[in-house]
Amino acid sequence: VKYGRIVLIHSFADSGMEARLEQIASDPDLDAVEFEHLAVIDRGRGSERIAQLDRLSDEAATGVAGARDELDERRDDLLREIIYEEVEPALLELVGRFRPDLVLVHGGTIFTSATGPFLQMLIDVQEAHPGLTYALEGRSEWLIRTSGRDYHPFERRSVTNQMRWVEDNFSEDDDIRALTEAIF
Amino acid sequence: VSWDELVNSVISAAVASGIVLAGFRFYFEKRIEHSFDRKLAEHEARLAERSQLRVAYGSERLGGYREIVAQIKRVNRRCRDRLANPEAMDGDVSQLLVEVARFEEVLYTNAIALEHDQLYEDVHAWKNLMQSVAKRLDNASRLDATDSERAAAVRASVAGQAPQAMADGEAVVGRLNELIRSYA
Repeated sequence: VKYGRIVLIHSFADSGMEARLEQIASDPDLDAVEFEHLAVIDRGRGSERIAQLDRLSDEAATGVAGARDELDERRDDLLREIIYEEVEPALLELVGRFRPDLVLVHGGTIFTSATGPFLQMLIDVQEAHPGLTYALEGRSEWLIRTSGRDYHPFERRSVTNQMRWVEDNFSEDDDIRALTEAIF
Repeated sequence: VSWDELVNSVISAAVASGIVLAGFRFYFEKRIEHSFDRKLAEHEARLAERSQLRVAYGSERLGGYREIVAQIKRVNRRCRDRLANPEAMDGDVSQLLVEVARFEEVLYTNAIALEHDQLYEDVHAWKNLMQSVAKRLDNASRLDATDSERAAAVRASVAGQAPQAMADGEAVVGRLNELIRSYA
């Protein structure tokens, strides 16, 4: 097994993640792999920021909140804080303790809506633990989707940098493809 | 200059001015009228175009939702068949996996419309749950040859969760049908 110890970063700690954990546990091909799991939005952490995020979603659904742009801005700010203040320290601690061969990121809702902060967190982890391999579930799809969109001139440079980082730092080989196929 | 000549000149000048003024007035009125007619025609064309686009978008969205409903029903039927006959051939699990993969495609094709109707999260969560059910049933089939006890435990766990997953799918179908009826 090329990657025997894997840290899996999920978007949400919900019934979907629970089902995924059972799926991993039931897969004979993954018996030789040790996993540690971390979810960005984990209500079990008792985070006040996540509670605020939930309240924002409720307000948006009932039409109480202000303009859409303002709502999106508040949501982005909270998500950024959650990633930097809550997930990054937990990931640094987990990587230091578990010493994984691979950090596999679920390329779902959270990665897509907070790509910048997510990548910055991984850059920080990379600095603290050099030599670690990273993979992104749906890496090719993300690159195709991101390159196919139109961007404001001010946004273009940061999106180009994100795409470059994803291409250069998220590995892709047969083992990663097989792992991703089995897990997601 | 006699009085007669003077009166004639004044009358001729007045008549000539009147004719010229009437001519100008007629010309400007026609020009303004023409300009308004053109703008009105442009506006009507734009309205017709917008309304055609709205109709096209609406029918496309409803078509997409009908496809989602049909695919959820297909996945549920496959899952029900499989649970009713756990000793069936492996082909059944492959079919369930294929139907879930098809559902994933339909989901991502309609992601923007679902997001707009605040349904994306629930439909996506259901996809994850069903994907996990299908993969775990597949894992159980692969375990049959080497570890029948573990295979039975995996099937028992799936059998415990699948009815709720199928019920969740029916609930999503209900919400989509409600939307389809309200838009149709």
